[in-house]
Amino acid sequence: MARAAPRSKTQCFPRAPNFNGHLRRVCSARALNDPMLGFETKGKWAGAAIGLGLSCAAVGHWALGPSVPNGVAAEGAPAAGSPAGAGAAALDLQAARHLLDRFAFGPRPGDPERVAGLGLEAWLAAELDATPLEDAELGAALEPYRAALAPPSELVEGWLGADALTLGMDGRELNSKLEPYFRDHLANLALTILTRDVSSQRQLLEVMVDFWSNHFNVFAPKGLVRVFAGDYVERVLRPLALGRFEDLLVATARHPAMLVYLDNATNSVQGGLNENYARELLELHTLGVAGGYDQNDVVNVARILTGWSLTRPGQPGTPLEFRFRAGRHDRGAKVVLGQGFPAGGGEGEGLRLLQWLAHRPATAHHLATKLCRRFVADDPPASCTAAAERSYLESGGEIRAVLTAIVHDQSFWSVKTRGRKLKKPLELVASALRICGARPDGTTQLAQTLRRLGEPLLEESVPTGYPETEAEWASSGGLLHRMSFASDLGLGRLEGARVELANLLPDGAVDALLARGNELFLSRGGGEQTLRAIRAELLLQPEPLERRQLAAALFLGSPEFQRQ
Amino acid sequence: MTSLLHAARSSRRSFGLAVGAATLCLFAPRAARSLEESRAALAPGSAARPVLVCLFLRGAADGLSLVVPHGEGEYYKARPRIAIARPGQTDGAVALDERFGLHPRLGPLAAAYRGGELAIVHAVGSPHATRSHFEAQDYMETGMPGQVISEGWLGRYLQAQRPLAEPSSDELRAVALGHGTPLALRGYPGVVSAPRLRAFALRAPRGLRRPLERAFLRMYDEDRGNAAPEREPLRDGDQLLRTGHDALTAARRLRKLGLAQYQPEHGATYSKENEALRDVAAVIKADVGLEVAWLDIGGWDTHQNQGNGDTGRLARSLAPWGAGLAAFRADLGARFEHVLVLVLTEFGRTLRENGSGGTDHGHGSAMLLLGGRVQGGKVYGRWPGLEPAALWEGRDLAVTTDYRDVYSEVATGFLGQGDVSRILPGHPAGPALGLFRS
Repeated sequence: MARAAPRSKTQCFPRAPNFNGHLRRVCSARALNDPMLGFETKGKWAGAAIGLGLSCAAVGHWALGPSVPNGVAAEGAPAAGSPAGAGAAALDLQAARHLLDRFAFGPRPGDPERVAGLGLEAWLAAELDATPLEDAELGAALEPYRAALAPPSELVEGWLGADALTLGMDGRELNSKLEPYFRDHLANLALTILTRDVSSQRQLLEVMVDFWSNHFNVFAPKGLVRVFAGDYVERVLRPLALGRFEDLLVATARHPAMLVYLDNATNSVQGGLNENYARELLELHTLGVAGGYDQNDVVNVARILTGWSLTRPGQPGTPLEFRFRAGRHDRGAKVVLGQGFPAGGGEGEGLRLLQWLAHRPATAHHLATKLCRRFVADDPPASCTAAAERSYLESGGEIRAVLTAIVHDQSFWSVKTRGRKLKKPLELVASALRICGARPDGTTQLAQTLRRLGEPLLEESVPTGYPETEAEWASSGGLLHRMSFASDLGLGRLEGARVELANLLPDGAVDALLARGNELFLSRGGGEQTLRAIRAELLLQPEPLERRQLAAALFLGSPEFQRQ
Repeated sequence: MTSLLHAARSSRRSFGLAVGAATLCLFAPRAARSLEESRAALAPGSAARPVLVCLFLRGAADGLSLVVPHGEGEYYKARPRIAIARPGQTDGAVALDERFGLHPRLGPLAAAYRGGELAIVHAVGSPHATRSHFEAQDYMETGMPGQVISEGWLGRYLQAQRPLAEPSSDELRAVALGHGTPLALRGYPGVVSAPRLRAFALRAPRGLRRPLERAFLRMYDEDRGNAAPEREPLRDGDQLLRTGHDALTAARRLRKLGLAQYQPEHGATYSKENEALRDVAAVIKADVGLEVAWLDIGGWDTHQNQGNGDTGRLARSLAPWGAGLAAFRADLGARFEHVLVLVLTEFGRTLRENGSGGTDHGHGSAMLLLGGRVQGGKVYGRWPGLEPAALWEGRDLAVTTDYRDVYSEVATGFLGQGDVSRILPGHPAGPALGLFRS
């Protein structure tokens, strides 16, 4: 039996949100002030677009997309975020929940109402805003883990002393000296990521950081990757997560985490080629496995990238960082997919190659498919992939444009899309903590939780990153761990998180508890069978406190909560 | 509510609700054991079902280091730093014959080779030329190279053998040790999959395990039509529900087997790294209907620091499995007659070492077959040689045996399938290799 064909027929949700007026808002830089968000979005979208050298027409194209849902273009619609969310820009609660399920790590209590009032465009503009946001709550939550985010050289010096990098240790010796620090370090690093996923106001940014962490996967436990992984996420993936793909591609190619992980650090014309990075660059990062390249192209890409390496540890005054080693570089002429790279190209030919790859139609298709798979469905609808691909090519690989196209594609809002995608372990843990109003407690126990669920952060050893489609990873053992996690969290026994259910669930009668739990935890409401099963157990539980805990455990472990 | 208690309709569900009806203790007689199973347990050999245990080396294991062509000068020329030394030298290969030897870390299996229980197929691989791990793994698992398929060859085997319409409640036909259900087993919905079988349990405080388990079993019962108004029915054919329900019932079953208390026999000892084999041995001996066990093992993508017979990444990755398989063989005793271990990988690696003391993606590799019915003590397949002209695309060990010919023979010669066209559609049976004793 062939794998199911992508759903081609999509159904528009009857109460589809209205996206009218976005183009006008952008181009006239209409104010979208929102006191609830505490900052002003006036004109930033437009400013960002102009800064990228794009016309308003182009902006409008991404904003409206080719297939805007029904009910568009109401003239004179009130600005998004206007009081009571009256008018076309508002979302209904179901739509707001769906949006938060996919473009955020799920809602926190009160979020659906807030986002419904705000409307899609205002919410999206705030999420895509490139200006830094003062987020005191997040800052405080990150504090216990912040040391893990120090630059690599500082990390090493902090563990081994200020002169550690000037003692002439080679990589192997350095590695063994660093061994005792790595476990704690990786746990702290995982917690910086999980804390952001749970607490950050810029949710879409964090969703994309997770997406890129898998697309440009590195395996943190491998050698010196451990020292560089935090820097990689913090100073490459996050700052560039919503920008131009080309910039991400170049920055990841040059980062020591990637150079060590996929061995390009040792790719040399003298010692011999190493094809590892070259192949995954073509297969996974850019063109895709059906991207039309062959073994000769892989070899030539590897030749072009010879010498892309890092500084040697042990040289006084030299931080650990990217270094082009000209002596290792293959100076001959190369051809990749018909594209000539004349002899003597040096470091620059690698940059040219990466920039060229970033703008290939095959790359656009590959990324559009992966993004639609992430945000819409395991089998991405053709309309969505086409819209995302078009916006990618027209915008020159602007991630903001592609995300805007996806969220405006009607397939995203289809009833067939909603509640159908299985949450990955990180999505499950983050969304469960968010809906419970919980967050990491300053310890690193939750890193262990993610490990039990099978996807410890930054620890996928294969370069594909953790799989996105359910069939590839859903398993009976995984599901048991999900139920166990739900039980721990609901019953207040989850180590590593502070949970206070009292404000969320009523003390009183079973049916009130059931109704509130259903509304709070399950974006689309639980099925009859789920609700009956929960009700039956609640009726057997006489103690109000325990009944509340049991309710939370069962809602969080229900099939409906595993989906988004 | 009434229908919830009407449990007789599905035997799978009835197991879930009729707690304690069957006591499946590993070392005590079971109360409700089917006649067939009892017979199998009493007389290992007569009615016992064959058990296939696959070790999938994900990441492309270097066949030229696993089964070393120590008779080939080209091998040593191409690998100045990482060749496995000739037999008799320090950390040298363990000789099988004048041409081939085992990696020293697979040395514990040499006795099985000499005893006729271990066979090797060399220069085996896919007719498809891909050097992508992910494509090639899919092809190895579906048995259908070049096609995008959602069912694996062993999923099809289990379905062909006996479809899972109304599964027996206390069976455990397929286990997968790793993350996720491998593509090889997809198509059969009853796979129990987890990195560690011993951790396969619902974790809950003492007094609350029953209520939680009961409620989750009801929620995940796919048979109860449960579409709320105005929403796409979540239930129809939803694999998540079936998986959840199967997981809870299998967890009860495994709890009763008491894997943690299992004592290996015949002096076998396992380590933490290969405890999956210990769990598989325990499940085989429990006679709960195991037919396929699948182990996903990583650590083979040795682009760098591949090492030689003693040090480096490959020796490290191999160590637990040479010793582990030898222990597994000893542990199973006479039952090994009905067991086949198949060790496979998606493709081999370049003949020449690369600039990082490693090897890049190649083509042909080796397979190991270990079992009581194996016609062992022999290296099967035509050896193409390592001369430059003999190499695939001038760089890799050529493929002279299609991996599907091995599968096909496993299906007919070991699993007792008369017709393999359902398991390997579109693959005409190749020349018989003669891997099994008749």
